Amino acid sequence: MRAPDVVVAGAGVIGASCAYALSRLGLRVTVLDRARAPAGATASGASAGGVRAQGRSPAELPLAVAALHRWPTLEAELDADLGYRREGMTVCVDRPELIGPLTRRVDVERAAGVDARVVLGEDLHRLVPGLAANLVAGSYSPDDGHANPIRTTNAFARAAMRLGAQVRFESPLTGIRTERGRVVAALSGDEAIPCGAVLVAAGPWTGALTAQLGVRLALRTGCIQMVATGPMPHALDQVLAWVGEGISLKQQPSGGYLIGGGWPGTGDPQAYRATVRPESVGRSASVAARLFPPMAGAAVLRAWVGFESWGPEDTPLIGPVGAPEGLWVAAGFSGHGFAISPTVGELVATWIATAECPSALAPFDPIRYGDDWPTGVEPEAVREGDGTATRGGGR
Amino acid sequence: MGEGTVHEQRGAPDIAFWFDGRAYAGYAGDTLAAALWRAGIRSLRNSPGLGEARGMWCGVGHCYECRVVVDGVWGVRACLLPIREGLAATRETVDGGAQG
Amino acid sequence: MPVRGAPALGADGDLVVCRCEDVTLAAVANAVTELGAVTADQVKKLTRAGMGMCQGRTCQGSLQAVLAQLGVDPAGGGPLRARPPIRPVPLSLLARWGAGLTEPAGLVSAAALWGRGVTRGTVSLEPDPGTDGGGDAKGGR
Repeated sequence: MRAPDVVVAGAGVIGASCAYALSRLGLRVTVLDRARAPAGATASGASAGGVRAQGRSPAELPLAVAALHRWPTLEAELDADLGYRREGMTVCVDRPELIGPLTRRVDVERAAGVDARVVLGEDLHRLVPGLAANLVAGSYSPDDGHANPIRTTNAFARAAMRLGAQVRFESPLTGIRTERGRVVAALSGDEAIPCGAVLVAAGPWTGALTAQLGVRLALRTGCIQMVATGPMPHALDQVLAWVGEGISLKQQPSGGYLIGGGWPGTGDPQAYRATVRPESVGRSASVAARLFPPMAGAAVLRAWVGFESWGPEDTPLIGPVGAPEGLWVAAGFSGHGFAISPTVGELVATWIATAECPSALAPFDPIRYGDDWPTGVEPEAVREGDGTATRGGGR
Repeated sequence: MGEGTVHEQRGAPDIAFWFDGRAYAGYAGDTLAAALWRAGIRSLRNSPGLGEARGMWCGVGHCYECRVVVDGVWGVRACLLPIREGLAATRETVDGGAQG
Repeated sequence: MPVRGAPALGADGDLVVCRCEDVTLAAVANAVTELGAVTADQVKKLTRAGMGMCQGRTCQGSLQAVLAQLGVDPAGGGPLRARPPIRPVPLSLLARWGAGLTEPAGLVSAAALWGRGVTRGTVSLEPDPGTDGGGDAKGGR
């Protein structure tokens, strides 16, 4: 077997999307993953599945707008059922003084090409029947929606394999070998895989891998929790969020509700150990029932947790690290990488293949901070102890 | 064994309860699923994906096939719920979904 | 890993393996032969088998048997992982606890009562008037 052009570390949704896009461009790809992806306790495994342009950093809007153009045909492209629904998303506020900031955010999004608008009072309640009466306004985008992150991650990986990519589960990237300042091989246990480039898309495990080569990345780890209920009659078409209360709520095609919003779990990513925090289950249940009363009779079936990788100002790190040459990263998607995964993959692959940075990725230079770390961001390091993480934002 | 069957010894069922808006009678100590079964009602819901008629299956509170809605709460196991005077349970109606 | 080609299931394909989520044998087989699942957990993630009300208690054995028949690991990668809560709990009850309307002890006793089908008092989002839950905190299933 010929040596791959690119070894991708991490078969989550970002790594799988990159592997697929690289394979489409005719590059030989080997994907490595410590587990059988999409594994539990990862961002892809704990994603709420939101596919939205709203509510993200303005720097990401070009990526989001491009991704929303791609999503409607993605199922046909990957020949897979992704559970994709485009039924809109409404971000609600319960106080009049929050309408101003909401409107300003919508203005920024509209300028970037997002179809979003503010709806008030009666219009809001007509738009979302069943919404609690105390919500006074919302930002609505009909193009936002949701999909199944497990199926999507798997579909990217399978499509990559059909195009010749090799996906090696239970085979982690353990090191990277360089010669004369260039990546020459990826190491997985005792095996050295000669390659032209290594792309590390390993979420919260990215920083430790690059640190071995002296590359520090401004990443931090979050641990977020999701709650799912049993099936109920179809009552909610849209994805709902509530400013200040930390919730994302959707009803899945199979009828159960999925409660997200970044409620903290407990865990230590370096020990691959995560546990559900009961208080987060109770509090997220409380917010959900207050946001959308028709779901109050649902049975809560399950709660689970996953580790997310967060970047500076809640934006990702994407691109080459400079030194050594041939080392790339795509991580730090801060709880909202799923929606933009098709476009991130496409653009990273283009960049690797052509050596030209696509303009939409320019804001995400992985080493843009040099030694001047943004406030509140600690470099990713091998963690000791419990490593209980702060509130994240999986949506 | 004394004379007569257990049913004859017990007399007529005298606990009134409701399922899906219709009145039934059962014996004290019956579970909802058992009392309905005796009344000829075995289908308690339709499955969310395929719409199949479903009812009590394991009978011991393990499988949740017999689930009904009581007091607005979903997922109540009829095979465990003792009937009481005035109990009102309704069928789940899930217009469901394709898997996913 | 040897995986046989799609078996000719015929009418057997319509057999319901996961009764909670209506996942058929054909869908489970498809997850293995077309979607690359090699463990029961992966079948679950890709088909929703085991994600319903009983959380896989009923279908787990069947899933592992199907995987064995398809030539994949007969142990199916081990049992499906359990996640809390150990049994379904009404959202409203957890919401009462989360909003501070009931104490943990009340939550446990109310959940136990609910598990035995006693649902009065568990649904309201109003604060407890007095003693919450009450009754026997033992038992429940």
